[in-house]
Amino acid sequence: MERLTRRRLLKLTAFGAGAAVLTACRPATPAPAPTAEPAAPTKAPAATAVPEPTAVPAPVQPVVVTLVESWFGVPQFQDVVDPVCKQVSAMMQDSGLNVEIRSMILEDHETKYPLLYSSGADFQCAFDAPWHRMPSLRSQGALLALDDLFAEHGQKVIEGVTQKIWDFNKYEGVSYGIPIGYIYNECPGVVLRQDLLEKYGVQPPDPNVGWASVKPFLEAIRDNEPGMIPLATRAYKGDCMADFNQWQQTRTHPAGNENTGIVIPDLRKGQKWVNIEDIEAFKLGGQLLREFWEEHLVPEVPISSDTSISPGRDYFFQGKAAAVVANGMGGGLYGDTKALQAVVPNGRAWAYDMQGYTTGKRRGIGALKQWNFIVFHGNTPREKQIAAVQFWNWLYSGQEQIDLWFFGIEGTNWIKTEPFGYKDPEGVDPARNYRKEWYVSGVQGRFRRVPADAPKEYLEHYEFLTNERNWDFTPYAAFELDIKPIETELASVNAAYDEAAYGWRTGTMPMEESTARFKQMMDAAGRPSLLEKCQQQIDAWIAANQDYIKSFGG
Amino acid sequence: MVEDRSWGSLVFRVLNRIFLGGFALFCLLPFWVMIVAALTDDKELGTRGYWIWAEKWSLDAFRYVLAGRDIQVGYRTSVLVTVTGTLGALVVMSGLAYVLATRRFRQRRKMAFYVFFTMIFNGGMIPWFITCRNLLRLTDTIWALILPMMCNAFWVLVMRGFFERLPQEILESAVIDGASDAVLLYRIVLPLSSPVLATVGLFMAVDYWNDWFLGVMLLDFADFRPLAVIIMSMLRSIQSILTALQMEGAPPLGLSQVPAYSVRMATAAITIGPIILMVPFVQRYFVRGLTLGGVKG
Repeated sequence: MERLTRRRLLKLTAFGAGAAVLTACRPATPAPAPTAEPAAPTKAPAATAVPEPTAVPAPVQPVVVTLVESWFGVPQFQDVVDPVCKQVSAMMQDSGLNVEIRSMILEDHETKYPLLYSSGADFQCAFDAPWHRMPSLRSQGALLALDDLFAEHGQKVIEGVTQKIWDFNKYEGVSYGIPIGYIYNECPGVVLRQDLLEKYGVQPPDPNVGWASVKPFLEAIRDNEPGMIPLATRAYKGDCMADFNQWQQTRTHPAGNENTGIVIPDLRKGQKWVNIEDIEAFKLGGQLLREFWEEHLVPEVPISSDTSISPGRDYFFQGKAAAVVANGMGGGLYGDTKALQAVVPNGRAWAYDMQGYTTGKRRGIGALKQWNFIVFHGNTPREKQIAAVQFWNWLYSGQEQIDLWFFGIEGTNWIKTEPFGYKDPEGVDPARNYRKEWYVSGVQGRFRRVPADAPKEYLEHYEFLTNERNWDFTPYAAFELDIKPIETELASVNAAYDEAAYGWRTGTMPMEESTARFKQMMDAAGRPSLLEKCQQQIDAWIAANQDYIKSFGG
Repeated sequence: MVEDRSWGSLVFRVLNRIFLGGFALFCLLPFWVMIVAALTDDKELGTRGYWIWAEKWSLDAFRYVLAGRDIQVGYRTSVLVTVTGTLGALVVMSGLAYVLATRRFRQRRKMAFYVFFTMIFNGGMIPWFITCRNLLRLTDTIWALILPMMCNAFWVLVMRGFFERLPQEILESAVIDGASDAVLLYRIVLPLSSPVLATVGLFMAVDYWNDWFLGVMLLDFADFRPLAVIIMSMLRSIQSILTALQMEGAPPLGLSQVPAYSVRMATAAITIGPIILMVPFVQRYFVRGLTLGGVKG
């Protein structure tokens, strides 16, 4: 018998291990069926005459419009998206629009998206944003100017977006994309463990009081739940400055850049840039945070993560934190409880308004400027440009089309509930099911159905956020800083900001000391020069746009 | 050889074994943690973190990853691309290396410099992209996954170095007997070059197996994807769900039904598994092959 060598033994072990793993991993239940092919449109076929041998014209091929899909916030698989695109195309063609839509999903959006423009690839529209490639593509002339096209072929889109928002998002008087919006602004607050609040008999936080009213809950957690963080705060984004953020929706940062140390506190009340440490609310917020830190209500060393955009929420969903600062209340009112109960079966989350917007204590500024767009490729045949606009116009022309776009094929990907809801079909893998989130869809979020099991508070909250009457609008929000002349100053203050702000952001230093240090470091980084240049720009803009400012409806 | 039995030698041997054993353990530990994490219940992984042993074992992550048609398509595509690409690469690169090693070819040094130049400089991403899409029209074809990687300048030079060290007398005697260059290459040189072919083949196979870049860049609407792209897409989708959860307001999309943390380790295990299984078959060539890099002149 041949001797069993070590090499032979290794080979046999490798074979055996592979076979064992494959055998053990045979799925117990059948693999989920791929998304079904769409049912044929339910329409009686038109009677057709027997064709003449030589007189029948060749069928006109539909114009193919390619949309480069976005990549964030939603799972995307080509085999899931394609059947829906086919259904959309079939509906369009039945309605007389000879267009076929197809989606191009990019696995590496960051790298491939600009290459598509460079190589002259055949696509007509794509998701893009001012914070992504839109400014550079626009300056290179790669994006199509849309006003004429939409005036002729896309009126329904403008109506759906609203003329006010459409006009507000032009660049130098020209539209370069469909602005996608939903709410006029967020309502920041706190998301906390409602089950623990009730367990310890603590009064719920009061929106009219603010973050000081959260303190009793945090103290109850500190005293009764060892190992649990009362309030999970982050070192960056300043959300540790909970009270300071009470009015963050009115503050204006230079070019949306928060790490500069200068703001316009409220565009409605004045258009002057100021240092943030000179603002009274800043001092009060910092003092409250310092108090929280001294009393061990926030982590001694704030949570940070290189891989998570919101590590505080990660801790909250793992049951390791009792409260977390929230930029918006929607999650706390609906989805957060489900996520929490995956680890803490009896846990319940709830959100509280810390702004006082919902009680009328304050009014925020409604944002007309949007941060997500559908842009159109300038280097494509005119016929396809028109077809692309006509596609979006068709999409905006009815709720049935919008439902198909957002949720997929009814009965397969979603189930309609009345009056304006949806739910997932049984047995469908939610990680692979077709969905389009509003911010990447090209369609305004208010047309998207709401989850059928969402509580009434969730629905009321979004009704509040999407209703114009709850927000003030100001023409000064149309001002956009020109970044080029201030690039150097911006880079310099950004580089200094995190270290300079750490003390007051985290509560680890007394306010007097942290504020003085912040001021010294930021001024040394060139903040006064940045402030002066920003002020010159806005003053010049105001002087040049007096007619617009006076005519603004608000 | 007379073994040194002094105390110093003994101490050295003991310390050496401890050090090397510790180093080996240090190298193996990440793989062990990966396997354990892939087999750990996802909830425990999320709460307890990564550890060298699990309290609650589960195959859910592997079941989740392996279920579904796209994984099977990915495996088939990757196997096809790896086998075809590796064989094609060996043929192409050995041919070029043979030319560069042939002393009769007077321009071999200049050509070797051109090959070497491509190791240091390239035209950039945009020209490469335009060449592959517009000029070669590789988009949405299987050749998009094979051709761009087929010729690697580094391995050409390694093979050239090996071919140059082959006994020239054998080649000369074959030439005297009337052998052409093709006969020399395929009947004499390649059979004598099994170490370098096995080494280069292994590295090329690993590169083809792990490659995701070509699939991402050059496949738009193809109904096939290499395994690396499918796994990348799966992980990206899970991350999308996690990001949506962190974005406050977007419903969690049934995250609790997806083993989000352990599935990452399972995908890593599935991706490297076939390569690890290949190692015993090429192991004996590996050490010899690693010393082939002595390129002269």
